[in-house]
Amino acid sequence: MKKLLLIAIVLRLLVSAFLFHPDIKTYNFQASFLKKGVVNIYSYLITNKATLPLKDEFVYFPLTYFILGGYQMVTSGILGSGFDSWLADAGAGSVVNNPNIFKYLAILKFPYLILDIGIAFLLLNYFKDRKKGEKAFILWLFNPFTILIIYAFSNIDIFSVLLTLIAFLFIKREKLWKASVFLGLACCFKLYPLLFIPFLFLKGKDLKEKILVSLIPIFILGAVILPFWSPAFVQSALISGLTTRIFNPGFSIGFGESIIVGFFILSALFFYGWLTDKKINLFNYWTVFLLLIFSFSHFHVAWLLWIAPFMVILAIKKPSLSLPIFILSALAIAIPMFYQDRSMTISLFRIYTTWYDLLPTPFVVLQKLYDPYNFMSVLHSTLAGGSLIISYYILKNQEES
Amino acid sequence: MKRMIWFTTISILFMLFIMPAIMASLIKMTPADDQPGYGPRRLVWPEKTFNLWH
Repeated sequence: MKKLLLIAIVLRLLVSAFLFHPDIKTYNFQASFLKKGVVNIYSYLITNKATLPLKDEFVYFPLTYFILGGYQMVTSGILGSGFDSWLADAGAGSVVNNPNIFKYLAILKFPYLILDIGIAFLLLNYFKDRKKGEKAFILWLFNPFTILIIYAFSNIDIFSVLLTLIAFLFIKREKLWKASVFLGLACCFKLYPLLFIPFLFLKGKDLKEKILVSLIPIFILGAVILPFWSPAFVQSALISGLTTRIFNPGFSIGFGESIIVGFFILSALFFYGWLTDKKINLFNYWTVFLLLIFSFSHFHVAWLLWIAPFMVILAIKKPSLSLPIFILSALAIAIPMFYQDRSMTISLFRIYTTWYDLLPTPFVVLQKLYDPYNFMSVLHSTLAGGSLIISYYILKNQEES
Repeated sequence: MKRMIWFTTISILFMLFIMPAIMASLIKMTPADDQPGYGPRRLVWPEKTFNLWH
């Protein structure tokens, strides 16, 4: 086990240092203002947009800003004096040609490594059967999907994913209060855990507990975001395209009204759980909800991490599903590779050489043979079909799980 | 599990060390090993012989 853990860490460090997605530089540039005493990053960035080298808004929630900014403060000695000027460098070539980039990336992604290993140990203790726990531990550490999602794409969602998994472990031990606290903390990094609250409500033993466990995450989130509440915060983080994209898909029913697929799935599962399920198993509902959300929305590659620990648990619980899960995971990660976005593929390797800028993206290559949008639709439809059947399988075999 | 460990290790190492080499081999240099001014003389138009008497 120790040897495997060491290999897993080495692989992660290599990906951390060699693959570069520009998002990590953008949000660390924004978080670097904490060192200069800026507390409300949302209004600061909008007020000083004209003079800043990077013009993006801070799309994450306040806790992300303080954690990343605080981490930079702690590691500033190791990062060195040139770090801030690298962060502020808007030159596409000079950023990757900086000889310190390997050090910067390895250090900036180091907290993800700690959280990632933390998730592996949570999975180790998830099952009563030690052997199953060890399998989950190994499967989490040795699958190329999570390594890519976390380290190549510099996925900040890992904070929420770890906290959601802790919440889920408390639910498993029937400690709903503690679970709702961790779910609230998870919401402070990313809003998606808020969508699990309706199922937490169903899990409550009586009306008092149902209301309390539903309100605690909202109170925690409110306490964290209220001091920053401003048009700048609402525009940048709360209703940003990234936050609301999950609820974009829908179909019109006329007269300006439409059915929003995300809410439709949430409502259908809530009522299914309420009316048909006497002993609700939250693992099944969260997994099915996420599977269906990814099936029917244009997801960001980072979102795939939300479901990853649940997929590992499912593959261990039901070994017959491990191959379908592997195939669907490969499909899910393949779809964003065909987006018309260089940083999804070719640009990740720009540290090696900027000559790669001459290479066409998979989208452009495919364009010469077939319509890439049609191809992505075929992949996404296959993913949706497979996810639908797995969801049916999970809900049908609830008693066994 | 053993297969997954091998698959992950090999695919990550392939992505980091082999893939960049493959990508580099796909880059088309312009002009490709045919730099004007170097090597044998190349003519843009066919060479003509002028005969002043006809």
